[in-house]
Amino acid sequence: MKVKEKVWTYRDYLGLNDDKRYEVINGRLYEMPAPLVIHQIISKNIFRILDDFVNKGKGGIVLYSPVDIILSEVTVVQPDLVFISKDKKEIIKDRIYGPPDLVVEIVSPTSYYRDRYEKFRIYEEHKVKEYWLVYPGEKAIEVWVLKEGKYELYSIASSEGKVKSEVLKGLEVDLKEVFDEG
Amino acid sequence: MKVKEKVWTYRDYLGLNDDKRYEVINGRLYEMPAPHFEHQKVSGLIEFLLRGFVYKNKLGEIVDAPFDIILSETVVVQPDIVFISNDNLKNIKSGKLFGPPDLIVEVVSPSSYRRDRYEKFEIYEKAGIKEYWLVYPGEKAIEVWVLKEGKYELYGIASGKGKVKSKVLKGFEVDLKEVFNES
Repeated sequence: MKVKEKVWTYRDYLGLNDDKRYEVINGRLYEMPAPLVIHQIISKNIFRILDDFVNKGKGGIVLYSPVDIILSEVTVVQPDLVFISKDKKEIIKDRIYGPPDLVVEIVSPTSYYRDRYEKFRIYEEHKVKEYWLVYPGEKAIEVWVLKEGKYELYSIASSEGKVKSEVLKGLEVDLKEVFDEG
Repeated sequence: MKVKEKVWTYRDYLGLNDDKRYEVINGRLYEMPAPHFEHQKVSGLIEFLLRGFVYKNKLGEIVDAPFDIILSETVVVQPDIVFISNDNLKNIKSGKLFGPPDLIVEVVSPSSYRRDRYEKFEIYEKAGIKEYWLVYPGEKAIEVWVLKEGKYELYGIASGKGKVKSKVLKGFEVDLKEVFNES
């Protein structure tokens, strides 16, 4: 939901104190409605898979929403999940100041356009190396990887099968585990 | 579902006689599982709206799957809904369409996600299909892609609520609440 016409900045955003969740994308303020249960189940499933993998492997941190990621003066996002490698841990302060290594967005009817097109461009511009788009309704996952500054579709599966990560080498995610509502 | 490794042609496709539904995309044969209830409902509602508009304005015909469209020797598709303008009706021979229709609607399902969103997207772009609607029942979203200088551009999009309109069918628009469940 887009609210109020003016160029919003990070400072304006910090000044909001109505207990709602917002994002600022290129100076536009969006209110974030509370996600549906299915969205949260999928988020939990992916968090577990990523967190296990990262803890066993090369290290870093996986965080789930809401966490503010400040990408510029006019862009503050709260992705569903982020992975920040050990090498980039200096971007973690009270909030996160800079692009994570990997971002996961779980698409919902209220965020479809923003996730698939607006944030896609934002993450590409800000050099987030890997972007996962998860579509609960179509049981699909797309893994986009930055190649010479542009996202390329690195891995995709729907209904069944696995997707793999480039940033987290060796990680393969079975769709069954992600979309399991059990 | 992709089946059997070889380069499939239109002729091979015609030779299949096992009563299943298939598409041939760039020489690959895909079996088409029967669609689910939600898919059929959404597809039916869009078709109803399209047909109403097209018939009222006497613009051509609306047909739904399974209906063969032969785009090349190695591409045979059965889109969910197609609009064929009066000018292009002459390309229907032996009950099949040889050449591009004017507008295609695909209702995406988990088993067809990649094919609809990426493979057919490219196929339709190359074939010169002026307008391509991608409908996502799960995310309650519709994208309208329109050909500009040989490439698809996102002409309209809505999700959750709102409206999308057609360029090819001037004056035709769909309110998402007419198509998707309220919930």
